[in-house]
Amino acid sequence: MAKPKKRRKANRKGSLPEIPLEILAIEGDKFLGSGNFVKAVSVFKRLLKSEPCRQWQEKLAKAYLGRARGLFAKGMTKEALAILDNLAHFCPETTPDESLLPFKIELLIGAGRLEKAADLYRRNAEHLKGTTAGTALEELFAALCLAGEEILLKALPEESPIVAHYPFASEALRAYCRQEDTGANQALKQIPFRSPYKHFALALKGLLTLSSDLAGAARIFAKIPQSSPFYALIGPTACCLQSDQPLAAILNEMGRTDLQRLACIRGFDEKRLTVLLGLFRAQNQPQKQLALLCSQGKELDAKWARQTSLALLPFYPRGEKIYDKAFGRLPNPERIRLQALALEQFNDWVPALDYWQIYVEKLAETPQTAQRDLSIALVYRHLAEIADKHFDTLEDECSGYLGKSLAYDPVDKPTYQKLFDACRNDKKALRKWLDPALEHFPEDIDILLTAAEAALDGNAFKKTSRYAAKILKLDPINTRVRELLLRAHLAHGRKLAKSGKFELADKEFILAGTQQRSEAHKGASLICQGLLKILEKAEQQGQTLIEAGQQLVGLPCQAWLITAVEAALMGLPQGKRNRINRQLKACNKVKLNKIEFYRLLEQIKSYQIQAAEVMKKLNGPLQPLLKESADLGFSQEESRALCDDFYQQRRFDLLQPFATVAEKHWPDQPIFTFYRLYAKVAGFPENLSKKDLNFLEQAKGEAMDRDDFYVADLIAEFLDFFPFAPPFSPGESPEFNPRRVIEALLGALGGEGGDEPFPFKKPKKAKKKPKKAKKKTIKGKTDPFEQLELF
Amino acid sequence: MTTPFSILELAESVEDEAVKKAYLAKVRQHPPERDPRGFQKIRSAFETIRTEKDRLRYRLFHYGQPDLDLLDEKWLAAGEGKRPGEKMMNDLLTAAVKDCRIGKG
Repeated sequence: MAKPKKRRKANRKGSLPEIPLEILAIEGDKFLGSGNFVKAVSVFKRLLKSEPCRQWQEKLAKAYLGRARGLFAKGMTKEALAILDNLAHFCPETTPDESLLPFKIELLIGAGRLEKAADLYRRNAEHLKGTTAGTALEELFAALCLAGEEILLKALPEESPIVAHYPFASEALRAYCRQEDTGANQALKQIPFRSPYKHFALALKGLLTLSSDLAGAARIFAKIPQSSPFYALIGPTACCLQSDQPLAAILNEMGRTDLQRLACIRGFDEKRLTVLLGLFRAQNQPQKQLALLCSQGKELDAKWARQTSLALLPFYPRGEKIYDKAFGRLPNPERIRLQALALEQFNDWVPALDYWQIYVEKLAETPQTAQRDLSIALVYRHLAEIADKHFDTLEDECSGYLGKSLAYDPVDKPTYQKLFDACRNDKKALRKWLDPALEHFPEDIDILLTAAEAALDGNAFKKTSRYAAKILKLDPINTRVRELLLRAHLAHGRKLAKSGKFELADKEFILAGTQQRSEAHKGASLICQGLLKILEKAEQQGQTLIEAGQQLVGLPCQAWLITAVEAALMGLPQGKRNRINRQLKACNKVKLNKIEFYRLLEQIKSYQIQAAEVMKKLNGPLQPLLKESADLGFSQEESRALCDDFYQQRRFDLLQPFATVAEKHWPDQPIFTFYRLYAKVAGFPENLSKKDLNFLEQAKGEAMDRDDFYVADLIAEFLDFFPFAPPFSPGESPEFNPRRVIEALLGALGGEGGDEPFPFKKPKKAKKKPKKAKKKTIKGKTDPFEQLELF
Repeated sequence: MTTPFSILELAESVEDEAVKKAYLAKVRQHPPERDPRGFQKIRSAFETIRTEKDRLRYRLFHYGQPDLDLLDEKWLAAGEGKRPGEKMMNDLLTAAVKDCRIGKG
């Protein structure tokens, strides 16, 4: 069925028949002012028909010009030219607009009427010379000449710079395309600075610089205005150089034309660019990326596409089929490996462990090679890492995996070190791993140091000395081993003294004194010799040696602490020890300065390692002295380091006064509030009052506000152990067992388990070990024991 | 797109000595004081594949989405070694002239 013909709208001219001319003229002005040139043309043409008027003719010309520009902007060049013809026809007596001529030439160029454009330009060359539009037209003609429109070279005057400089520009371009950079540069030098080809010369110079100096190229590109036709040569490249964004992101924002230009200028294959951008746009969509790589990845690089696809498979294990289709079937063990990685990717650690085990079994079935063994060892180490990171309960398994890995690759120092760490409290296991480690790393200082420490722990003093001597041969200024040797000689001397071998003991104490250069160490050695003399009943001689030793130590409280500890360790009679202890207590009357305080603290720390039991008894007399030292005016960093250390050592008696003083000085530091309250309740959150709890919550909030997540976590972890936390909250403590709560409730109702105490009343003590690993990361932390060279 | 091997411009079947050599050559090109970002990238690549054990570890446990760093400065600077032909340049300039608007004002 034929469509009914649309009725034509009434003629526009007919819509204005009765309007008076004055009003019509006002309407025309309004149209002209608002850019409605179509209506403005209609109105002024009608007015001119009714009454010829110069003013209206000028306005009609303006409306025509506006209309032509509008059409040109839309790419309707021919229509715009027709409008300009109308302008010339209907408004012959108007004053020509200055922009009309260049506009017309540009329109002619746009319409492909180059000869006519050149003719018009030639005829008005004098008029256009020196004007902005004239210069722009010159550049446009120059670009056209270089684009191969050689007809222009005949149409334009020979003396024109467009024609005169053309051979140099053309030669430079040809040389560039042929990769003859020297020729291109020579040709470019011939182009004068004021040439219409000057921006072309800059563009080409920049492109030539690009491979050697990106920043230099960017500087050259920046000199080319975007309005220049030659900007198209470098625009997308300049954009990539100037942006801070990653290149893929810049390309992603580029239009198709710019991408094509970039591909053309930089010699990129457009297909490759498309694949790359496809990959970029499919970021975080492994399925899409895998599909793209399997189908078109070969456009980029077949080997790379296969490897990248393989690396993507753990994110999208179902993609195996398309992978097989594109790159060939994967071997079976490889499938298992990828499956294990995929499970890791989804945090399915238990099946991941199983898959890795299967992978190891499959590898073990293959013929033995060095690479196979290394692969198995690496997988076992990976398993140990998973067990350590994701399963708190698999400590033994972790050591087991590490041990198995050594069967395949016995020369791996980090694995031995991990095993030593795991066997800290198991001397037998430690020795088991020390022997092969020493066999493979006989001159490794770290391994030798561990061996020396283990020997000292096992009271094997000669062995300790042997290892220490070896270390000192490798590193004569190793302070750690000198300290170890000193401890070994002292411990050996004490042992010999206890068993009555005074002469040998004396030798050991003398040797101890030679290990360190510090007066304090020499003093300690003399004190030990003195105590030995007392044991030998040579009281007077002993007293003299002790006094000499104490003089060398210098600080009375430190000297008496050494005397008291050594006396206890050497088994001096209780009566004599009591006298020494009284002297130690008397030291409380002296006030310490900062340096003395650190020295004493270091001494206490050292004895806590060597003689923890003795130190428990001797801490009491020194406590008031140490507590008072909180007011010595420590800086914020010093206070923080000291509190951290007391927290690690669970020295609540010292943590509380130091944290209290620090909190007063720096109330904005939530860590001190936490330390104060932590020490107040001796690490048991159930002893916190409601007020304290509020303080801690506030401190946690402050830590969060300051992005101090370490402190916020510390407080949150401590509060997790608070017994009145909601029983089924995610942060529930291991001591707080919901099952026990339910059983107790059932018991209270007369069911089973009624004898069990109600868990809310008396929660188990939550003895929390302070974090060690995280502490090291605190910014600005300084260890007080590392701040001063005390001895 | 980059792998430690591609950063150091090495084949995957490389020896320890070659890795070290390639690393030192790259550091000379991107010294830390002049190009800290580039140096960091090189250093990280070197540490990933420094020894045979490291390289095998990388092959066994590495997985990840493609790193589109292939589109990096080097790639941009060198292109793919090809220059456009004269015809391509002519077309580009013709299109550029068409896009030009002198009479905008």
